[in-house]
Amino acid sequence: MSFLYPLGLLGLIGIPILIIIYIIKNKYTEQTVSSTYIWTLSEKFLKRKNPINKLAGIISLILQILIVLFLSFGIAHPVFTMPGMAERYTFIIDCSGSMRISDGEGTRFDAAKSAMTDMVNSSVEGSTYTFISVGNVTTVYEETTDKDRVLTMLSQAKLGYTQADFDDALSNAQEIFDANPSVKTYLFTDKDFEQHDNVEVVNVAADASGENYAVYSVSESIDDEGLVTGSVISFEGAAELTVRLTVNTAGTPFTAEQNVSVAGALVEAPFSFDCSSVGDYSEYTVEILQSDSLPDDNGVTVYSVASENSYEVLIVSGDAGEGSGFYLENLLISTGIADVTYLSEDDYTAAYLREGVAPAAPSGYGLYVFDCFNPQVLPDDGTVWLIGLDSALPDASFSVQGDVTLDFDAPVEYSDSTSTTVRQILDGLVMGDMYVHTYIKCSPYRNYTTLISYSGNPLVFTTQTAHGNREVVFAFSLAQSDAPVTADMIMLVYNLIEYSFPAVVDDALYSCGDTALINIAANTDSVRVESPSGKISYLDNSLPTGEVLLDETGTYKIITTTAGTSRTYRIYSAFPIEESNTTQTGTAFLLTGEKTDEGYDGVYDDLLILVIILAVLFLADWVVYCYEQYQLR
Amino acid sequence: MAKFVINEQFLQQVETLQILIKNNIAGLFGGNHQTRNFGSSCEFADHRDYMAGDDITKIDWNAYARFEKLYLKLFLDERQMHTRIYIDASRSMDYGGGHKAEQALKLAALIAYVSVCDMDKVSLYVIHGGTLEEVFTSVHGKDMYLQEIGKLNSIVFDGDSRISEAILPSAVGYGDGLSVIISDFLTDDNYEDAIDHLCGKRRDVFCIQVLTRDELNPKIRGKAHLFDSENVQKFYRRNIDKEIIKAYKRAVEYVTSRIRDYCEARGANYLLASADASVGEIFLGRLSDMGVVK
Repeated sequence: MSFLYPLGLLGLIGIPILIIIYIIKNKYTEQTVSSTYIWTLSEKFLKRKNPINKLAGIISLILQILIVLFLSFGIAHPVFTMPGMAERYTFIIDCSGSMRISDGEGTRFDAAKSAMTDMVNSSVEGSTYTFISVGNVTTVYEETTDKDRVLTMLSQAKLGYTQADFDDALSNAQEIFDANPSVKTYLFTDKDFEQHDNVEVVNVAADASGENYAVYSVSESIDDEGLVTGSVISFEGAAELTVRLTVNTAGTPFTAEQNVSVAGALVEAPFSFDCSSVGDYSEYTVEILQSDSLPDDNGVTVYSVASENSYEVLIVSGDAGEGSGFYLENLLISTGIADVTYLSEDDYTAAYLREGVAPAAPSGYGLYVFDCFNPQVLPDDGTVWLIGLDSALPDASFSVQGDVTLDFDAPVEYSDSTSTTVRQILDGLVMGDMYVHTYIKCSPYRNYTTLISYSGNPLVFTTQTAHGNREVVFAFSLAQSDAPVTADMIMLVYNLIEYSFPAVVDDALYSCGDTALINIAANTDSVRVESPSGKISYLDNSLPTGEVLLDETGTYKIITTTAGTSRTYRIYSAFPIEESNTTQTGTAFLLTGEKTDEGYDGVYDDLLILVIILAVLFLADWVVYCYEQYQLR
Repeated sequence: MAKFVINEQFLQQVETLQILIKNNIAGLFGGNHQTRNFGSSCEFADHRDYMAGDDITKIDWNAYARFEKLYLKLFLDERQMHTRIYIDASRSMDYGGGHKAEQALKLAALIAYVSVCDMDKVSLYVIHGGTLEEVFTSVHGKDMYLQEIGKLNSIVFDGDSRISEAILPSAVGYGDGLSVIISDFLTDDNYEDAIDHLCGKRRDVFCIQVLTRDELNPKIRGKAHLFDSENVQKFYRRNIDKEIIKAYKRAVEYVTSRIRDYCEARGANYLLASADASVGEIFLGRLSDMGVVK
């Protein structure tokens, strides 16, 4: 036996003190009476010769000594060694999405935690515990002998939505088993592992699971066919389900419901909603109205990528443009991702280039197109297209050397660079129908990429403004060129629009566990990611793309901030359909090696018995006191 | 030690009591002290045949006239009784807050007074250890009583008392009156022999046991170390609780019933007198109820 806090034994000093106090306070009162004859005689008339009566005088002292004794021991916290009684445990708990299924009062995860808690509490003190939680990532907690600690670890384990990485958990458990073959390994899961050598699988899936339905798939063709289609599935048997579609539009939301019959377990049942009356939408939700044992997989929300990535465009066309501005405006509108504002040279000058006032620049647009017009100052946000600019700009990244007119229409040269940017911008061009007659000789000097050139002179190139924004330069006037009517030019403009408006999210619907790719535009100040549970993280804005691991079900918000302006993009992480299955069969989860039954020294340090003894002693002391008072009455 | 117990005030009470006694009772212990012997009193007792040598003045001539035979008139004999009062003068009679000694002296004085009023002689003794000490002897008549009774104030209560050892060797008389023993009888010493001895001497015996209220119903509680007033070597050490008190009361009952039963078995009288009761109450109430006085 040892003590956790040996200083507590100092309390034993209280025993002699108690005895001294008792002796001092419990002196017999000396008194002289006329005769002790009757007193002495009365001894013969005492009815009960209870031996306890002989102790009655000191029973209170005995009780109080015992109280001090046990109290001191309690404070010192004795620890008894129990040879060979302790074990080493490895507890692996499945945190996959299917553990969210509620078979009865609680989820399977709750049942697993309860089973593990019972096991920990019933184990002998001094046992060693290693706790591993298996979700989309495996977390191996530090080994401990403290029951409370391991239960705290258990409470900290987060139930995920994705599939569990059992391979990783197995390799960790194997490592522990190899180091100590006597370890007892328990796996708390809802999967029925057929092979589990050296592992005791605690299956927390109830025999009779509740019904579970899920939206199996969903897709839309609202623009083309005016349809939202998909399928639902039941995991336990045939079911009559009601599916509701809600489409959020600029006007009144569109809602429709449809009854779907599911023929049997694991059989898909399709649905189709006619949405021909719906125009542009921001999002739509498909949900099953029947409640079941897992609500997370009963609905899917799909956000419109186009709606998420829409931008405002400002076109300023100089007088020399002669209609090219109108041409650009229609091209941009036709993409469906841009709201175009058109300003004439006079309007722009009146607004930003007033006489006697320093030139200013507009802001708040995603793209600025200056066609045959020099704004003198470039905006500090958004992408800039500079078309047919015959004079230099301080913020631009090129110098202008003047017009060059050829004697004949010469074919342009397309860049054969293999860079991704070049290939994306020139993607789809036939590369042969564009000619140049008059161009402006420019000399870019800052990180430029030539797309189209003539005789070494860049005709279309990309670079960056002094503010770090993307800049596209056309070194010729569209109005004085045949280029606008060429297929290459139209395709080039489309590609440049995509280049100018890098879609932050390419897809708005993912399955939980997927990784969403986030495009990060240059000059983006921050990219903040908010998970459905409110967890916030930031992406590295120095990289062109960032990755977001979708480990929760629901809507993720991607908030980009550029020059003080924030935009919010939403993507939906759907519950993984494979985790919706109420009956899952795992593969093998076995530990290789020969298990031994080596025991370890356990300890017993429960103070409950001491507390009970102390309570009984206190009670007994109180009873004795009351009895004495009654006797003396 | 009881000081000035017998004082003017007490004697006035005695006078008052004497009047009450006269009105209520005919006398002490059956009263006129007539004996079975024929004597010279005025009260006719019987006739017998005349025998030669008899006093001819006692011949009943009326009977001779009727029966023509000489009969002698016999009269009852009247004798003066001798009341002997023994007071236990041990320390236990006068210790603590009780008034046993005072009560004992008052009872003794009152019994003596009633006796002298009946023209009896009164002797009063105190028992110290195993010896008997005279306070006064053969007092008769009120004048002599008043002269001697003050001696009771000088009685010293100290030491122990051994009743039998003191009374047995003394002259107690034979069939000539009443012997009164006043004591607390809180002793395991032999007092039965004294009672037997007195009864054997054909004396009327009256034992008065005087106990204080605290002795009858003690108030002591808790851990107590009790010393005996007569002998400090004797002590009683206990945590006095309810059970002990119950046992104590049973012991008191045992002690009082033992002497009472002993007295009754021998035709003696017994009285348990509380030290706190008034002597009037004892005489007019208790003794009358008991039939000791008529």
